[in-house]
This record gives sequence, C-alpha cells and structure tokens, in this order.
Amino acid sequence: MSAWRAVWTIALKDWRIEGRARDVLMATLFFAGMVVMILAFAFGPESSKLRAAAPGILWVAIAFASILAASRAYGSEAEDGALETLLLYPVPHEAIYLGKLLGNLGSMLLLTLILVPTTLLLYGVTLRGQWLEFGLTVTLGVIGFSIVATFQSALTVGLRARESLLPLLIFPIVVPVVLAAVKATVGIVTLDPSIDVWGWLRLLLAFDVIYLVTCTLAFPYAVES
Amino acid sequence: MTQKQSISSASWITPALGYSSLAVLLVAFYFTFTAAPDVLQGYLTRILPVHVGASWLAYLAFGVTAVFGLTYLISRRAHWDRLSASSAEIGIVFIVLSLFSGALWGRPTWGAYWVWGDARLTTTALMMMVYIGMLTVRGMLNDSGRRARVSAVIAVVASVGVPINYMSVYWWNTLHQTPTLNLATQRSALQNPGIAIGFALALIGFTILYAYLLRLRGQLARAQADLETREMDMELRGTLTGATS
Repeated sequence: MSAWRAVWTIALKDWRIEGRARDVLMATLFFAGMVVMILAFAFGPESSKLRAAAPGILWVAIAFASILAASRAYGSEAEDGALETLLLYPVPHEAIYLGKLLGNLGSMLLLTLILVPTTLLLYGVTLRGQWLEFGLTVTLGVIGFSIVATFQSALTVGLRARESLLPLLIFPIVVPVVLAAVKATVGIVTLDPSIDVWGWLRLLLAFDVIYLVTCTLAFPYAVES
Repeated sequence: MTQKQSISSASWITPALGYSSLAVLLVAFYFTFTAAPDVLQGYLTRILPVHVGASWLAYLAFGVTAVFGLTYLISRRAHWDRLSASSAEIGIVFIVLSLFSGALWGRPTWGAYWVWGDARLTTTALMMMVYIGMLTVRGMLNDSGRRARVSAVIAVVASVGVPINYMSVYWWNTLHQTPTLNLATQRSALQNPGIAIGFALALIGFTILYAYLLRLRGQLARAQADLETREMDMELRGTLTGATS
C-alpha cells in the first residue's frame, strides 16, 4: 500500500467511526457551546462589549474544543492495543500521523462550520465582505491547532492524567495561532484598515507549514515501540 | 580502572566549578553594588546582572536540553537523556528567578509587573510552561526508553516554537499598540562602568554555575539510574531463588 493510500485509509476509518458514534463532534460541540455561553455571562450583558470580545471568545472556544478533540483522537486507538496494531502495518509512521491528522481535522472543521455562525449570531457580529479572508482564517487556524494537538496527543497515549497534561503541552505552542487568528478575525469583522489581515494569514500559513513538517518528521520517534 | 579514574577526575572538577562560580559571582556583585546609581534608573540597575545572568542561564539550559534531546534521538545513549532532563530542571529554576527579578524590575520601569505585549517576557513564560510539561510527562512514564524518547521529542518541537512565539508576539505588539516604554533600551544601563563589569562577570559566573549544576545533577541522575537497574536485578534474583527453593 502506498503511503498516500495509507493516509487516506486511516482518515476514512476515523471519519467512519466518527460518522457512526459522533463521539468527538458531540463532546466538542457542547463543550465549545458552553464556553461561548459562559464567557457571554462573564463579559456582561452590554452588547457593544460582547461584540468587541466575540473574535477572542470564538477562538478560545475553538482552542479548547481542539484539545478535547485531540484527546479523543487516540481514544479509540488506546483500547485493546489498537495503536500497536496500527503501527505494525507496513506503511511509514509519518503516514499514520497524517491520517490521524486528517481524521481529526474532519471533526474540527465540521465543528467550526456549526460553531462559527452560531457564535457570530449570538454575539451580534455581522460580516461585511472579506469572505475569502474569513474562510482562510478559520481553516488555517483550525489546521494549526489540529497539527499540534494531534501530535501531542500521540505522545501522551495511555498516560494517567492525560486530559490535564494535554493543555500544558499544546497551549504554549499554539499561542501564535491564537494571536494571528484573533487579530485577523478582528480585522475582518471591524474592517479596521490598520490591521493587516493578509499579514496575519501569512503567519498562520507559515506556522501550519513549519509545524506540519516538524511534527510529521518527529512522529516516528514519538510512537516507536 | 577506567570507571575509578572517571570518578576521581569528577571529584575535583565539580567542586572546582562550584567554588569558581561562587568567587566570580561574588566579585560581580561587589562591582554591581558599589557602582554609582544610574542617571535614569538610580539603584534599580543593580538587579541587571542577576536578572540577565539568570535569563542567559535559563536560555542556555533550554538550548542544551533540546540539543542533548536530539543527540539522544540519534545516538540512543541513556547518558544524553539524563543530561537533557537535568538541564531542563536547572533551566526551570533559573527561568523562575529571571521572571521574578524581571517583574520586580518591570514595576518601577514599565509601570507594571507584567506586560503582555513584550515578546521576550511572553516567550520566556511560554517556554517555561513547555519544559514544565516535559518534566511532568517524564514523571508519568515508567518505561525509561519511552520516557527518554518522548521528552526528547517535546524538547525538540518546543525549540522550534521559541522563534515563532517570539516573532508573533513581537508583531502583535508593534503593529497594534504603542511600543512599551523601555528605559533600558533608550539609555543602556551598561553605560555605567560598575554595572557593565558586574554584568560581564555575572555572565561568566552564571555560565560556570550552569556547568557545575549540570555535572552535579548528571551525577545524581546516573546514580538514580544505577539504583534502578540494581533494584531490578535484585528483584529478578529474588524471584529466581524463590522459584528454585
């Protein structure tokens, strides 16, 4: 089996599991929804304040959801030695990482497809143009979270207290994604000409490329047995 | 014989490093505390040799952690893993000192203990979190092979993140806020000769201190690893004699 076929097969397997159990989507969706709600209560009822805080709140919700999704990504593999079996297949381990990443991305993109419009609606934010930029911001931001979260999740498979450990390993690394995605979103929503939306998008793209390469190369060391 | 020789050489090098770092740091502090007060910052600049020295040591320690981690992944000798983890522990101690002294210095000069837009400060704090995470993961893994691999991978991936974090916070700040008032860059405190000598000596003293602590911690880590193998041997022997009797 070629490496790219293996990537596709693993991603399809994860999507099929997700399509049947809806495990990740349900957990992350309700969790992200709760974050969006509790932050609305925390920032008070003034609608102008809430509108200003909306981009930040949206990305906080996505960041937390991506950690939850990543810890679930290897949940099915941790049972009955499934990961060991997966690693025994005669395909490069890099392909397994890329497959798991694609599988995770599927759930995360589906989540944002529901979460983003809902959040903007609830916080009274209206988009006036720059649809391409907004789509790119959300996609590149989610890909950035997913790359790091899927990798760190593989490192900690089967550890005690993994859920509390993952944020510590993921957040310090994805800070550039949070900064760039929030800034770009603010720029798009407010149409503030002083915010260089494309500049932040380039930073997101650079982050995604650098970490995709680093994590793919490091993955075989992370899981070898 | 070779084992004995390496121990005897270690027994004088390590204390020598310790005493020389103490001596150099005492001279550094003498110059620092006898220097004339700075034109702009007054007595505040006296914290510079300690703050910058501790920061330098922490960055050196984390750099070494990543390099030794990578060396472990290539060579697979447990020795490099022990040194890498030892270096990370030292780095965390001094990064806390650096952040603490920086906060004390920041309050009177910047007007705040913590400034989110400062790229150096934020990157340093994030780096500390990553290495605390790395040591936490180490504490949870009992299999020494996996422990070494996972912590080396975390150290290497974290070192990739340092420049990206720095640049992103730098852009975040410079593009959207008025630059933070930083007296230290407008007029360098190093124009004060006493502080400058103290600073140069403190850098040397902290570097020797790092070498000293790394050797000490490395020796301790080796002793711990020896103890682990011996305990396993004894357990194994116990079960074997138990089975035969």
